[in-house]
Amino acid sequence: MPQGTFKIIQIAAQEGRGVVALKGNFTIRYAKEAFFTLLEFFNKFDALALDLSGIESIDSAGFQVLLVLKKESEAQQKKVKLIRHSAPVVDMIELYGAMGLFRDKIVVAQNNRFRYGREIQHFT
Amino acid sequence: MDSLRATFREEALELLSSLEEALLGLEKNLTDDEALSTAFRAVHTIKGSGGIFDFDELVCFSHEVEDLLDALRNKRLPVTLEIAALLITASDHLVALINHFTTDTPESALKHLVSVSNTILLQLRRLMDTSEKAVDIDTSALPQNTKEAEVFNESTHPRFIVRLKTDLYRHGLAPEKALRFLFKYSSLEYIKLITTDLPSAQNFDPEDAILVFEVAFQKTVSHEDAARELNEAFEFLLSRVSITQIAKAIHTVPEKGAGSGVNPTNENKNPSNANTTKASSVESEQTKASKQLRVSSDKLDLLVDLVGELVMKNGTLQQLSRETQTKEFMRPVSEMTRLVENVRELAMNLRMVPIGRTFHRMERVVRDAAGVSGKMVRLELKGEDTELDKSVIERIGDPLMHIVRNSVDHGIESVEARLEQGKPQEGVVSLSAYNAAGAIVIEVTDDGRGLDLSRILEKARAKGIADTDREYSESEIQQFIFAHGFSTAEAVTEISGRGVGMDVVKKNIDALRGVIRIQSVFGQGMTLRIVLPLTLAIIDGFVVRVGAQKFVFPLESVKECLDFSTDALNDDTRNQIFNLRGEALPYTSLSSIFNIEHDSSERASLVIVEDGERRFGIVVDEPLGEHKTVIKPLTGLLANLRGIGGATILGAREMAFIIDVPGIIDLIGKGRRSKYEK
Repeated sequence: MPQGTFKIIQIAAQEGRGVVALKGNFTIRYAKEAFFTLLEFFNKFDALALDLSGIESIDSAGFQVLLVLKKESEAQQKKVKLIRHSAPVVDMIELYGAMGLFRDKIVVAQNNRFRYGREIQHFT
Repeated sequence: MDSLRATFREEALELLSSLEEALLGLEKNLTDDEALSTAFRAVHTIKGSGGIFDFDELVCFSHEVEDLLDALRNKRLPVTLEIAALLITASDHLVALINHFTTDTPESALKHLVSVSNTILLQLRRLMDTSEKAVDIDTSALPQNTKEAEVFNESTHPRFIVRLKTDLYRHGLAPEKALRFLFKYSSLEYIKLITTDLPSAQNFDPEDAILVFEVAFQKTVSHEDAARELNEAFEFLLSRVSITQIAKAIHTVPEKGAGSGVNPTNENKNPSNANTTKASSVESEQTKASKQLRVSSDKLDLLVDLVGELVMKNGTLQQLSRETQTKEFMRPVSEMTRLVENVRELAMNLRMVPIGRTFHRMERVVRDAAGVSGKMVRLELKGEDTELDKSVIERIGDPLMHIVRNSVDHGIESVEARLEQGKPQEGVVSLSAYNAAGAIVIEVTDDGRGLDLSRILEKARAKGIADTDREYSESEIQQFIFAHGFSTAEAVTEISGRGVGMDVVKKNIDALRGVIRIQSVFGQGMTLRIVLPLTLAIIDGFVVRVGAQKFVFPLESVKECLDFSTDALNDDTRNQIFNLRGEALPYTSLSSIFNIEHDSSERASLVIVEDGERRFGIVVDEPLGEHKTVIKPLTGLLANLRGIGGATILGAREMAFIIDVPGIIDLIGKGRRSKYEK
């Protein structure tokens, strides 16, 4: 089974704010590496935006990474924002009923309606 | 084809009027389900009829509006102020579309209409979340309170916690598939991620499976079935997940009020019930409607005319029967008279229309005028059942609209100004209608700033309407607002204030042979009172003679008729006061009003007339009794005689003038005032 590729690229940085793009297959294969890379960026910037438009596929492992990062950002009172969610990302979020957790503006592309209902949640 | 189109137009405009009314009500009360139903039915019917005529643009537009209304009435979408306002805009556009398709407008106008349609529909679709463009969903706007979510978690849903075992991923397993299976093939209600146990970044090994989530099934599923479905979904993962049940389904129906907002009955459970109640209410609407009939007003007018002739000819018969004194003749004639009287009453009633419809149109006027000026105004209506002749109703609408707009624009103050004065922030405009002594009285009252007489006088003097070196009475100053070109508005507002308004209003009222009176207290408010004569074509009349001329008073305005001593009457003076059982009653004589030659040594009678607020005595030579009077309007040079409301034929080719009581009281009043000023 081809595992594809995955990379994380910094695309912008300005005064403590950074934008980082994730591209490829955000799966178990790359989960560890991705997490530590993202953690580095997280520590580097006060506010970090993750551009998810390049994510072609994502599984529960990849999803976890985003979750932990997000929870960490709340704990440390830093900003981590997910932006430009690709369809697979939205799908995953919906699947786990985690819309409320991310509380970011999610731009849903055509036909990608919320099929799974919405719940409001907090990191507890 | 044209008459079909005309009928469609008439019906459609009526539907649209009730649509607007329903939507205005909905805007005020977002939970008004009946208004929603009315609105839906109206649009639905228009869509259907439009389809018959192949009015494509109309059909397409109304189809989408109907969709929105359907979603609202089935609670798939909540009613908001934004939606209500958009619907009102849509209903305005429907009027424009109907007008285009049912009148001879050029095809090129359609292009513009279509672009307006599109603009409205874009907003509509956005609200319905069916847009084909990207939809921005800002979840931060959603309620942050988890209680909201917990409402859902009634113990009536079977719920389970699924915990992934740490090495699930290392075994090459993916829980997503199981979840998707659940969504597709089971009676899942929701899945919710649980984040209490999420590790901190420091303690996180990304290859561990750490997810924990809650799975809830629909209430109607037994816990055994739910467990079974869950197991089925996680079949291939079972050793790598732990599943705990946290709630069982309870199969008793919760008591009323027990559920905090969760409706116990499944929507699909009682379809038959819902349908029958809907059906029966539709049916009663239909039977109500079938008891009404559309009649062309031309036919009605013809009928009233004929009935009028009938009444007159019967009058002649009555007179003859009195003269012949033949019993065989008198009895059928008296029965005939009774029948004719019934027919007359019925014919008159056919033309009478309640003023409520016209009043309700003012809701929109108030809403729009208040909206533009940013004020808060409420409309109160009274006497909506009061009936007026159809012709009057048609012509009173525009003047009323202007008066109401004026009240909102110039009368009611801004919210801040009102609060400063200790008034409630919401201004009130009230419309009321009632019958009074042979006239209809319509009052428009507001609790705004009233008339600033000094400013009005100043303005009138500046415009040359008033003399600078003369003093004027309060009522005279009030009358200046009816002068042509008069306006005290600081700036010409969008609504009114160009000074073309009130004089046109007065002209319209004059044309209906009504009078308009003002009562105002500066700082507190103003009442405009319109008194309209009943322009029934046939009235009960009280005939009198002055000299060689006969006059008829509308019987409803005659209160009394007394003997009157001629010594007291002096034709030169016009300001006699009569002692009517202790009450001071001003009087004058018809002969002096109309300059009729007569023998003043004759015994006279005093007819006491009233027009709803003012009472006068009018001296005549001889009262001649009651008479069914057919009003024939005066035309040409005689049409605008003040004090005269028409003419009639009495029995044997004799003509009598019909007195217009409010008009004549006005005349007398003017005469008396000018006498004082000389």
